[in-house]
Amino acid sequence: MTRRSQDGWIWGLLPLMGLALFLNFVASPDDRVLGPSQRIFYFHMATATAAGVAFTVTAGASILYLATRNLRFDAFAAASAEIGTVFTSMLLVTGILWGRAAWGVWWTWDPRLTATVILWVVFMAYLMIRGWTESRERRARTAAVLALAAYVDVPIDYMTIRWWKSIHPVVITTHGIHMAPSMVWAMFVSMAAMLGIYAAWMQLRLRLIRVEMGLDRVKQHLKDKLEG
Amino acid sequence: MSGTERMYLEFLFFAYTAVWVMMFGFLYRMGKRARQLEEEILILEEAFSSETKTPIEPGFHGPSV
Repeated sequence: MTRRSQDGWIWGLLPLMGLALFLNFVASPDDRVLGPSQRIFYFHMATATAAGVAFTVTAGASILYLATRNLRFDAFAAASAEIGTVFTSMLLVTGILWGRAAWGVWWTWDPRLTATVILWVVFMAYLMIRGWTESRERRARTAAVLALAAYVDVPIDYMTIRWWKSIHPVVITTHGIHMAPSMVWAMFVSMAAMLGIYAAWMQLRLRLIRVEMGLDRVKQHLKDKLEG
Repeated sequence: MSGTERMYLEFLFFAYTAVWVMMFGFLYRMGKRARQLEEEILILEEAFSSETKTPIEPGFHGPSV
């Protein structure tokens, strides 16, 4: 497969996101209590899914790095953590807006909200620590351990609304999805579109990481040549 | 939902679709540029590695008549 044809699938995102927007704004009904502000939820849930997937990929790639010491896995973990942090930021912003409409407050220290903000802070720290050391191997090892420690918060975040008393709604339960069928469609299509964006960003970010690594090799080669 | 509310939602749909199309265009352009950069770096690396592979024998001073 040529590099050019690797990008062909990205065109599929255009109609997918268009469909998600159509379902969100036109096809789905207003919520009986929340009215049109319910529509924030579809993207809120979609960004949460994409963030969860991104951090899971980071954890998986970190385990693979520790097992094999192959720097390709470190690049994968770093790219996914960066994108996961962007999605978590979007999750927090949409959550704050939805919370203002639903609960009448911008922020409350609810277990779900607290766990999410901790996740965001921990992965921000992960990204900052990656920039502190020049040694590629040392950075990869420290980052992999930190990513695994940070990932512990992901299942906790998911379970907070089930384990503890929380005002955050529980949409998906063991008894089914607590929403009207047209709303369920809007939610799943939004999730698919957001996961597509995650995949496109991953492809782009990994490509840039490969360019950065290539530049480092060329710089090292030039340095060696000049020195001796 | 009133007719006006429905109209506003349709406007929102068209506005966000237009924003998305522009964002997609930018994303695609960035992807294309990154691919070009990746290819150029590979060419550069290959040029350097072929330069290193040139056999250099100690004591060889080039062709002589």
